[in-house]
Amino acid sequence: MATRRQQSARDDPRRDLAGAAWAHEREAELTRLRRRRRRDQRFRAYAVGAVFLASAFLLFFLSDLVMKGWPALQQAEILTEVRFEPDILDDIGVAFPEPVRDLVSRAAKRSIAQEAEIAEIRVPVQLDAAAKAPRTAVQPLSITQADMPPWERDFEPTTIPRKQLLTLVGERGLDQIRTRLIESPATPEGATSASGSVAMWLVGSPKLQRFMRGQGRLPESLHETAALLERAGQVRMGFDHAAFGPDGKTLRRWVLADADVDQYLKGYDYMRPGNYAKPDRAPISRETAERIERLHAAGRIELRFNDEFFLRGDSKIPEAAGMRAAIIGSVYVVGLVFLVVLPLGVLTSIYLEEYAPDNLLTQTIEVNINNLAAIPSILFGVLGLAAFINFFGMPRSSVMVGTAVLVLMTLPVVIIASRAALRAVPDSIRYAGYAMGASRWQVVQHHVLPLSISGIMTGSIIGIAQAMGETAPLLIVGLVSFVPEGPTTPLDPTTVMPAQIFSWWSMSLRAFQERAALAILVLLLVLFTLNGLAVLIRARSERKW
Amino acid sequence: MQDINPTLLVLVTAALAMALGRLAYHFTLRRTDAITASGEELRSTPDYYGWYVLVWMFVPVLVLSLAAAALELADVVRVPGRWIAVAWVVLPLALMLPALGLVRARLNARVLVERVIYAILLAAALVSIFTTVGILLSVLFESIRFFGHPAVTVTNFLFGTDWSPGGAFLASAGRGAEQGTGASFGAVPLFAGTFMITGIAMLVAVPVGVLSAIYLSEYSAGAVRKLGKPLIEVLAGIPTVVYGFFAAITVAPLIVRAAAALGLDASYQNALAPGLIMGVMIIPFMSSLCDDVMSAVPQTLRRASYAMGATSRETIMQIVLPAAFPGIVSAFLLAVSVAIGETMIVVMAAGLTANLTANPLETMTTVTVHIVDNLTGDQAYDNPQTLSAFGLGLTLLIMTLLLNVASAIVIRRYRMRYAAD
Repeated sequence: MATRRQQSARDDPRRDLAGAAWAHEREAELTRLRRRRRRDQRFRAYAVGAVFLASAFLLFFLSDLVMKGWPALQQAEILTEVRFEPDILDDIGVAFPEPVRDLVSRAAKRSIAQEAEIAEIRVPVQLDAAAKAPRTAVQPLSITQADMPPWERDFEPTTIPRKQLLTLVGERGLDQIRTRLIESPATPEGATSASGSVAMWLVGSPKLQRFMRGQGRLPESLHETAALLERAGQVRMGFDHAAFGPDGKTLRRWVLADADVDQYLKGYDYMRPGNYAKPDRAPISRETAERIERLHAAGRIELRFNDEFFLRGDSKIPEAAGMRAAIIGSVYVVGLVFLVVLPLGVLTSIYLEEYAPDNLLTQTIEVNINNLAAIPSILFGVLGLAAFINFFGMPRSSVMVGTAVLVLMTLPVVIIASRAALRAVPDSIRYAGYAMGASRWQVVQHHVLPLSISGIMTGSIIGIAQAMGETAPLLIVGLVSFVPEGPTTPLDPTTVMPAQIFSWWSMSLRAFQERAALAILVLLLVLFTLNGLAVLIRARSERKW
Repeated sequence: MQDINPTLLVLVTAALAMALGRLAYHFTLRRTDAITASGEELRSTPDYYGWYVLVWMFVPVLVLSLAAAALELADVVRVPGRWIAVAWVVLPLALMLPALGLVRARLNARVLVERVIYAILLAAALVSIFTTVGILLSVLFESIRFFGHPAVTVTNFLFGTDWSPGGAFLASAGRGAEQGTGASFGAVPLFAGTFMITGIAMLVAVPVGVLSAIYLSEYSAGAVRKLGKPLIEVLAGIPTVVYGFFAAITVAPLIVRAAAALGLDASYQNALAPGLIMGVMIIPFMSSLCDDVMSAVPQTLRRASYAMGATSRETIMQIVLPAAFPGIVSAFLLAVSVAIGETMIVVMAAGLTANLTANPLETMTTVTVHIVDNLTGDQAYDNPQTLSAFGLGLTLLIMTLLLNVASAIVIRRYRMRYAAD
């Protein structure tokens, strides 16, 4: 058994060189071989290193985002007594006991105040025996100059018909009339008019509640009436005695804590300015920190699951900011985009693959599509601004203009993917169809399309996933404005998840940064699911022709 | 009358129209059945007659709706949505009986229906042309207004190094006379910033992208390739706003700290952070394109090289890469085009001040950042600062298109022709 060295020495054509020269030559040869091998191994190491580097970055990136976003899943809340009593409507702070008063979130205070008050409307009610049912007891209300504020001169006296008044008086208001009729029909409380009717403050209907809180729109005429009544002082916000009793009630609840408390409990260094909710204000004082510690030790302050994040829309108050509106907006916009781009893209690719003659128009279309795929996304936003908003007059920040811009962006992607899917169907199938006497459209409709549908769906889902993550063009058409509520019609302003992330990132408060990171995790999860769906479809319908 | 929710109106009208359509289709099929039963032979398959009737019922309403939309756009007349909704139910209903009357055995319904289908397909394909035309026109129109403004000249824009549009606002507010116009739109600092950040990105993306493509196509066996390729694809699927967040919140402070450790002074909005992250974003792009190109090199060449005793590295460096080189160059040009058009990463991680410098640790800005900055917030279309965004947009469009054309030319002219071709 010769070694490799011996064997190659035997085969070496230079072996007829004289002794030392030949050995030297061999050595040099082997050294070169060794160097080449080492170079080869080094190169392979570099190549592996490149893939490794990319994966390492991905790992680092994801873990950093998880570390930044994870804390946002928790939100500090305070277990406290809340006094629902009439005096809290003037100063909501007194609803809370002293030790926690400055620790409670402004948002929580606002919502407690809203809960404690209710819109009331003053209507004339006929309380004598003739009025059997509460509805008939309500009389038309006449408004005169005397009722109006001094700056409204030249006011035409009007009478509000009973029907309108009844839509503004809710069920609870009618119950109040019922109770009154049962109790003491003959004892008036307010002014008695000549016809024997009494002016009663009644709880307003849900429509009136929404009007007084500025939420939602009433139909035109009702809106005018309500506004008039408000100006005439016949509508007010008062304490909700009906819900909380004549003297009010004290309830024990978990309420949202202020972002400062939340961030302190999450362990950020409260002594370092800028770490906390208000970077320009002094961080919380030592006294406050100790108070928080005591309450925490007593179990009165806890970090609980942050469900507001998924239930509420955006807010200027960090602890109450959520991404509900962004999620709804994203689903709405991307859903519409999918509905529009799929038919448009598939029809275009059918035309290009099956019907288009090889002429200048077809080449122009193809060049166009390839160019569109390569145009930076921000220019689609510029198109949206100049053409859709300025020329077509679409409302800024609306679902409609966001959809239009994203449709144009996603179209080239869907077209290119669909064309590839159509091309993958072998011609033999088409020819077989033609041979049976089918027309071109029949072949497409009954043979080519069904066979390419999975490829088309895969491409579309990937395109949709891209659209879901797009921000730049939507920035330009205004979808980054502050939109706390989700959209109901395509003309409503909306925001989308990536825009919400951008908007929260741009707020310097740390609590918002946390939420931005969590929103990123939610977005990545959604995209991961979509892409996984596309991969699944592709894998399940792998065809061998 | 109360305002009707437009979504509801659309849905109800669509449902009614579709129900009407199905009804008409059904009646048509009954009629064709009757015709066949009486012994006459239909000249097309029955379903075509159904669609024939539907075409006659709905195409007129469609044309009227489009005409109404066009007229409304031109501000000639405003047609209430309600009327259009009603028309979509009433007109097809009225046309249903006459259309049914047209159904005869001698009628070759397929001809008309397929012509309509062709028209629909062509219209769909033309949408893409209208999009490009739309982009071009909208950018061009406003850019002309920008370049026509007295404070702006094309030469200063392309070659001037002073980007200070601030004075323009005062000038247009009428106070220019006292302070002098002072506005200058020399965009060279913006271009420099763009190219610097793009350059850093390419320094990261090209080696890592090409090497990983080499590994995935030449070295890796089935299992590793199956894992490695999707992993790199994941990088491609991450939205740019997420990259921007990471660059601004994590990478930039890291760089500042690293620079401080080396005794250098770095801004929190340095160019290195967005550059590096943009490079990472482009890695999958480079990798997959180079992988495709290298896989296209025939195996015969590689095998010949191995047969001559070359190592893998020698084969790759001396055979495969040179053969794939035009493709790699083309991929590079496309990647550069992606990098200069990238917006979110730079908006979040780079600065706003135009700064002409060679130091990547300083803050600088790019073309895309200023496009965004000038088109969000207050927009006064007579103010040249707002219009500058369109001028920059036009420049960006031209640069991207030139890069794409160059990429296509490189691939076409220098593509290696193999013996098998």
